[in-house]
Amino acid sequence: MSDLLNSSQRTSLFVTLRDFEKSLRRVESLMDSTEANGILFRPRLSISAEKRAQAHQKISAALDQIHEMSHLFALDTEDQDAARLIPSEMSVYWANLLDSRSGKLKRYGKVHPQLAENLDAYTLSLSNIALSLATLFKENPL
Amino acid sequence: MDDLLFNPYQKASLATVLHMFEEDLRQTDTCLDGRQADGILYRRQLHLSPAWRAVVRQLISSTLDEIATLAGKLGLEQEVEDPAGMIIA
Repeated sequence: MSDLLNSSQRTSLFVTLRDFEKSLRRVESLMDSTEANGILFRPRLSISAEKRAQAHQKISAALDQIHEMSHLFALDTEDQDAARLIPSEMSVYWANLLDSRSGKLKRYGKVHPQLAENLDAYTLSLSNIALSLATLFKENPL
Repeated sequence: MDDLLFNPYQKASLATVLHMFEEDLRQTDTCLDGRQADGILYRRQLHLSPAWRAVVRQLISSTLDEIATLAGKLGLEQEVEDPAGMIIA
C-alpha cells in the first residue's frame, strides 16, 4: 500500500502519526508518574483508577493501529538526538528569564522600587545558566 | 522578600517561567540517564560522552538549588498540578 502515497503525502502522514504517538506516550508517562515532586510543582492526577485503566487500554489500541499503519504505508522509524533538541528549548528559557527581570514586569503593573535589587541578579544568573546549557549541548564532543 | 514587592500578576508570571524551567531541567536530567526512548515512528537517544553528562548534571543540580533559593526568597509555593488538565489540552 506504500505506493498509494507520494513523498509529500507520506511525510505528512508520518509527521501526524509520529506526533500523535509522542503525545500518547507522554500521556502514559503522566498517568504513571504522579509521585515526582518538584520545587515549584507537585503532580496529582485526579482521574479514577477505572478511568486510568480505560485510558491505558485506548492508548494501547491507538499504538497498535499506528504500528499497523507504519507497516502498511512503509513509514520508517526516525532517529532523534536529544542533544540537538535541548539547545533550542534552553534558548527559549534564556529569553523568558531575561523577560522576568523587574523592568519587564511593569507589563503587569507598577514595579516596586526595591524589586530590582532583590530579583534581577537571580533571573540574570538563571538565564546565563540556560544559555550555558544550550552551548554545552551545541558543543557536545560526543 | 514578600508579596509587598510583587502584585499577584507579576508573581504569577515569574512563577510560571521558573516552574517551566524547572520541569525542563528535570526532563533534561532524566535524558542524561542514557535510556533510549523507543517508539514505533521515532527512536530518541542522547549522544553525549559520560564526562559531558557529568558536567551537565552538575550544572542542572546547582541550577535547581538556585531556583529553590529564589523560590524561598520570593515566597513562591509549590503548585499542585493535575496532569489530566494537560492531557485534555
